[in-house]
Amino acid sequence: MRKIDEIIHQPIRLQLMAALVALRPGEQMEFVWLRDLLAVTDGNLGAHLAKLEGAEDGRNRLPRLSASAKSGCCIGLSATQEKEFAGALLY
Amino acid sequence: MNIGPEEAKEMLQGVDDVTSRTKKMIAFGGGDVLFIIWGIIWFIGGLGTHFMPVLMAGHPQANLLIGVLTGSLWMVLVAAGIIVSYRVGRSGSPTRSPWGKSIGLMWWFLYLFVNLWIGLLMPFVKIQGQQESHMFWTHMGAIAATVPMFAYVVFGLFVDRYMVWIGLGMTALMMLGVYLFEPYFYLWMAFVGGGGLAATGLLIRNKWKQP
Repeated sequence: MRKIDEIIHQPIRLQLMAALVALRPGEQMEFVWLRDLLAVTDGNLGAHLAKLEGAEDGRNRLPRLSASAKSGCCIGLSATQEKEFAGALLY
Repeated sequence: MNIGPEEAKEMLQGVDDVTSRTKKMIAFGGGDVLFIIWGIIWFIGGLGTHFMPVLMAGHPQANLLIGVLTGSLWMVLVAAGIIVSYRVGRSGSPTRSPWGKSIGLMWWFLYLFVNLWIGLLMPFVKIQGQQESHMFWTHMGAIAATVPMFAYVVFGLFVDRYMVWIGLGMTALMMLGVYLFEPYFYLWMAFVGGGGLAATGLLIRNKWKQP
């Protein structure tokens, strides 16, 4: 059995990654649309993104975003990160 | 940290749910506003074209004026529509895609293509009488209206399937207008075509866009 990834297997973060995986290749999602989709606050989404960017364990599951750009920017996954997420679902 | 089977099932259901909502959001996000904008453009253009002869009646240069004013009206409306659509596409869409600019350019090329063809054909067209002239401009209007609908179909085949049905449906309605209501084609285009597009936009906004 695979080892659980405590960062990615938290329900909101799991849904966040699922939303990004559903995008077409090369596409990125606007911060505000992602926030509304997950029904979370700006701060809450920011905190989850920071964790996925490796703020806790240094492992990057999302391309790093600058804090100042967060509320107006777009978020997407690289092909490698999509594969990693698919692997995490096999837990 | 351990996850039990029930908890895992719930989490996977959450993943499925958010995946389907994201796909729906991408497919319809921003599209509602665009359909409403183009519905309004068709409505104004259709009404303007239908009533222009009435407005110009009695003028010594009526035929020339009708042609120039109607052509200008459509050119201004379509150009404004493309610019507004581009801005709405940038600000109202949930996603940014690397091919967004290419899609915008594709619409400009399509617009130029239709106008260029109509312009190139004009010197060879021999129109005699009011009735032939009306029929000619009805057919030109139908071509100009159905070419973007064909683009919807092609776009829908590769990106969002619902565009295929909108493109086919609107083309069928335009054909019906040409063959059955030819004298009132532009009025048909304003209410059925423009109204249909705007209603589609409202339907997407009120029903399909709901999570």
